[in-house]
Amino acid sequence: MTPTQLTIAAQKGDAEAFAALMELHQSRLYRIAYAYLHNEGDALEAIQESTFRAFRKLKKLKEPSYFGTWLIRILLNYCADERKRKSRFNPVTDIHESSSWDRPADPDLAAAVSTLDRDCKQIIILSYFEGFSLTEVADILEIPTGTVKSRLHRALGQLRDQLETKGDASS
Amino acid sequence: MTDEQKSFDALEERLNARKTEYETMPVPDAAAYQAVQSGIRQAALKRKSRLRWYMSSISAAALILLFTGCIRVSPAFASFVEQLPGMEGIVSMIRQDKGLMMAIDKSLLQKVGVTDEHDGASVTVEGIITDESRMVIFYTMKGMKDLEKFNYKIDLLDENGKNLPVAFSYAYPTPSPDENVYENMIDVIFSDQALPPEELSVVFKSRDTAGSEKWKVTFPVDKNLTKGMKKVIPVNQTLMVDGQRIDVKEATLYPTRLVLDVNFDPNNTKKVFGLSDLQLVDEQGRAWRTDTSTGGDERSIYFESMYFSIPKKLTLQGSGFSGLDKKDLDLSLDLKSRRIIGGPSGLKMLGSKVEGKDLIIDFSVAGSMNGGYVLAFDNVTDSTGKSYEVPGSSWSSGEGTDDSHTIVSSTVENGAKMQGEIQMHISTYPMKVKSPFSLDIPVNP
Repeated sequence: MTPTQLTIAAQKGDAEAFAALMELHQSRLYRIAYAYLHNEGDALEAIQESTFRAFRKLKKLKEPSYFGTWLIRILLNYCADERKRKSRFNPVTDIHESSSWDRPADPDLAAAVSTLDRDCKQIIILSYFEGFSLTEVADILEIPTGTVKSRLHRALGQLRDQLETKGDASS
Repeated sequence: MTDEQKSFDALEERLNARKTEYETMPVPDAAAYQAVQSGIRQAALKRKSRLRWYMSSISAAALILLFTGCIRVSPAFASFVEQLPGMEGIVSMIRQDKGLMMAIDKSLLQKVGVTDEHDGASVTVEGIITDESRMVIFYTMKGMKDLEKFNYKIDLLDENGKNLPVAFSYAYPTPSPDENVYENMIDVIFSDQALPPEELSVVFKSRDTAGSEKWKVTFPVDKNLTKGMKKVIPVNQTLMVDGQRIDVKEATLYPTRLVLDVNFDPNNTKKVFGLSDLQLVDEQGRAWRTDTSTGGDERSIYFESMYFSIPKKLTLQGSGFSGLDKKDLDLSLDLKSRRIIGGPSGLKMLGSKVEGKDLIIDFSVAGSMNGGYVLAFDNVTDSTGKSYEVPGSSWSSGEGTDDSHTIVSSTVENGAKMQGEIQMHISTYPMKVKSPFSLDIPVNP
């Protein structure tokens, strides 16, 4: 079945189709969540909670072919909801080998991205790291393309300013 | 090229280098898969856990809901039921109940079509299906606010306006394609002590404190449709499962369900919360499932009905039970030092917090909650002997990768001021005993 067919089946209550659909998206969800939340436990929690919300709200999704963008929107909303995370336990997470994401070759840039404000960080993750087009980002965030452009500009400006004040901007 | 352009280009280059690190980020596939599965499970459970039980003659602790998977019935049934106008949504709710589908197929559905409408909102009881043991009420709600939260209380009244002494469940409304219309059902358990009334009123009351709105639909119940349709199958056999004695007394077959009466011997060393993976299997390998039971040690277990497709042979099968040594049911807990004396090993207190008037105690429980039984308490007493209720527990398998323990949060109602050592009695616990059993049920003696 195509993802759209899976979505339609899932909307009719087929939990297996929904699980299959989630499997197609789980790596992307994990990366976005990790880039946002910085640790494995929280990223997995985000996947679990997004799955929960998506499954509950699935019938409200009008256009099955938008499942992917809709799901990312749910995840981003979860990640942005700081309150949720604070009220939870922080169990000891498994110690895992750090990846190059955690030990970046360019730590200044990595730090600058992670300290961006919410809107800007979303834009950088979606546009640069996930490689979504302006239109796709606009769909995910439910904002006009023009706003995507201006946010992107703002995000790059913030990054540049941050890196410049560190005194290591390129000249 | 301007300096600004140059600095942007350099920044993009650095971002692209970071993109490579992003793309090669290791994804713990197994753990992510587990997280997805728990998300689905919780969503499915939540749907179930919104089922509310109303009870009067049946004690609160005696009602147990088990969570089982779905089964599909043949497309023929489904297409038949889908022809019922306005009830397409209901079909998906009862599709897992072969017995109910067959009963509808045998024209046991009573069309009602009575509506109460005011303030731009309406409730219509579309139809019912009933026998002496159960009634399923199909209804639709239109234009009512707050349906997402289902802020309504349901009352069932007999012809004298008295509350029926029955247990019933109702689920979250299912959104239909038309957002203003919700289709749903109420599932009522009747017994020899409480039979269906001649005339039934279903009352929906807004829980909103400001609103006193209510909708009331009254309609006659045709009891002749299923009169005399009841078959008692004596069993009178004993199962020994992991040293525990379980007497299977009889099965009663109605059009809407089969009721199996069993007895957990009071002398058993273990408290049995429920039998695991219980099903009735016929000679064709068809499984008739159960999702509900009532009672404590004397228990009625409700299965799908095979009334209209009587098998030649029927076998009761199970994989064991959920239960705990009776001596481990009681524990004392020091709220300050978090020390637990007694109780099952693997139970730890993690912390507690006050929320309003309530105290929420967080426990770590060995194992996962996948079996359907959660850590729950039916009684808590503080050092002064005052007793408290623990109406709810919530849990998260939030560790994602770690299936070896689960965090359960138990809410002690009005327990905010409790201090020192408290006594707690466990009503259910996620401890499973694997010990497969089977027993022939003599359907055609």
